[in-house]
Amino acid sequence: MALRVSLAHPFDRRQAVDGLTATFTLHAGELVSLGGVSGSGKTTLLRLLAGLARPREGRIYWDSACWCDTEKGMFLEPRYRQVGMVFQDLALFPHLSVRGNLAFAEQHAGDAMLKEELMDHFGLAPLAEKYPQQLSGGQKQRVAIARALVQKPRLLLLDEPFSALDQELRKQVQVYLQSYHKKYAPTILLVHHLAAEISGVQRHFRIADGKLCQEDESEIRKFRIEARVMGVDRDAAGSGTLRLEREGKTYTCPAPAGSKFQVGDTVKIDLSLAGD
Amino acid sequence: MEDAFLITLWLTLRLAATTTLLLFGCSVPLAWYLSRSKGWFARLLEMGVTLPLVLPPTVIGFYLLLLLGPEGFLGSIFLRWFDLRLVFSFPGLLLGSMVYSLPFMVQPIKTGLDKLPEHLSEAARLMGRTEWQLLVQVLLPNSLPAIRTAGILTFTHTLGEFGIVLMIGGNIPGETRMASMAIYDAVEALRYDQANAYALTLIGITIFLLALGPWRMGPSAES
Repeated sequence: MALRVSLAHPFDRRQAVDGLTATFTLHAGELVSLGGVSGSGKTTLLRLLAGLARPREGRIYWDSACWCDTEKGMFLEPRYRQVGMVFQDLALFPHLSVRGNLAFAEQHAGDAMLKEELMDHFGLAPLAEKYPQQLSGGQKQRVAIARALVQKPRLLLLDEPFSALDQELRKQVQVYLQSYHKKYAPTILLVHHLAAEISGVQRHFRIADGKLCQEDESEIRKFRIEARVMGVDRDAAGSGTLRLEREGKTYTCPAPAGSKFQVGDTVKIDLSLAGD
Repeated sequence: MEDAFLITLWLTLRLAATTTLLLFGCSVPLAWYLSRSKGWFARLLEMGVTLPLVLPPTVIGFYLLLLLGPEGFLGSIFLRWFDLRLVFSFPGLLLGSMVYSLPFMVQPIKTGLDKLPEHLSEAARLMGRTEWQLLVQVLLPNSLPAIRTAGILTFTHTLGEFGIVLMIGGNIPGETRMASMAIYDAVEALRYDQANAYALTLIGITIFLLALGPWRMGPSAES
C-alpha cells in the first residue's frame, strides 16, 4: 500500500517561493521527515495531503483509492481520508477539556483503550478535566499529539509537533511515537526543524525552490552539526531566531514558538536550514 | 396593578421572546453561510440583512405593510391558504419584528463565527465531522458569548420597538398594543404616571438583561 502524489500548487504572495511541485510516494508504515526553510510550502503540502486545500493540478492516490485528481475532477473530503494531523497552532477545541478533546477524536474510528493509554503515556491523566486555555504550551502540544494518535490514522501528518516540548519530554514523546508506529504502522510525514534528533526516520524529503526532493542520508549527516546558543531573538508572536556559534562560525536558525532555548545550550541543527 | 398594564407587558415580552427564539433558528444558518461565503451573492445578502439597521423603521414598516396586507404578496397567501390576516395581528407583528431585528441577531453571531480559527473547523473535519456536526459540535459551542450577545440585543431591541409596531400592528389592546405604544398613548393623554410605570419596567428588564451580558459569562474561545 502506498500514497502516490503528484501535484502542482501556486502560493499566495506571503510565501517565500511562487509555488510547489511535488511528486513522491509514501509507502504504508513509513516514517518520513520533511524539511525546508520557512515559507517553502511544508505546511501547504501537509494541507494538500489532508484535503484541507485543493491542488491547482495533480493527483493523490492511496493505492487505487482516489483522494484527489484534478483531471477527473475528483476530490475526497478530509473526513473520509483517515488522516490525523497535528497543526502548528495545535487547533485544540477550547470548549472541551483535555479528555473531551481526545474523546472527540476517538469517536471517529478511535479506540477507547488507546485513549486511556495515551492519557497515561503523555502525562495527561492529571490534566484530564482542564481546558486548553488552562494548559502550558508543552501540555497543549502533548494533547494535540495524543488527539491525532487516538484516531488511529493511516496517514499521520505532524507539523512541528515537538516545538514547545523541553528536551526530556520531547524524548519521551518520541519514544512513545516509535512504539505507536511499530504497533499501528501509520505512514508518518513529519515536519521538524531539528529532524536530526528524530530516530527511526526512514527517508528525508526537502522542499527547495518550490520543488520537493528526497535527500540521501550522507547528505543529511553532512549538514547536521552541534552548536552553542549565543542568543535568542523573539518576535511578538513568540517565534524567533536562534543565534548559534560553532568553531568560531556563527549561524542563525529558526526558533519555534514556545521553545525554551537559553544562551549556553547546545543544540543539534540541520545546517541546510541555517543561514550564516 | 391594572389588567391592561399587565396584558400589554405580557404581550411585549411574548413578542420579544418569540422574535428572539424564531430569529435564532433562522439566523444561525444565515450567519454561518455569510461567515463562510465571500461571493457576490453573500455580500448582497449581508447588505440586505444590515439594511434594517440603517433604514428608518417607518420605511421598513411601510413596505412590510404593503407586503403583508390582504392585497400584498405574503398577506394574500396567508389569507388564502391559512385564513390568517397578517396586518394588525400578532403574527404579522412577529414577522415585522423578525425583519427589523434580523441584523441584531445575525451580525453578532457572524462576528463570533468569523473570529474562530479556521484550524478548529479543519481539525473537526479530519475527525470525521460533517459540516452540520462541525457547526453544532464545534462552532456554536465556541461562539456562546456571541450568541448570548445576539439574544440579548434582539430581545431588548424588540422590547422597545415603535415604528414597526405602529405601522403593522396598529394599536389594538390585548392583541398588538405593545409597551412602546402604551407609553406614547399615555403621554398623549398626559397620564405621566402610567407612562412612567411602563418606562421603568422596560428599563428594569433591559438593565437586568444587559447585566447578563457576555462579560459576566465563562471563558470564550479566544481566551
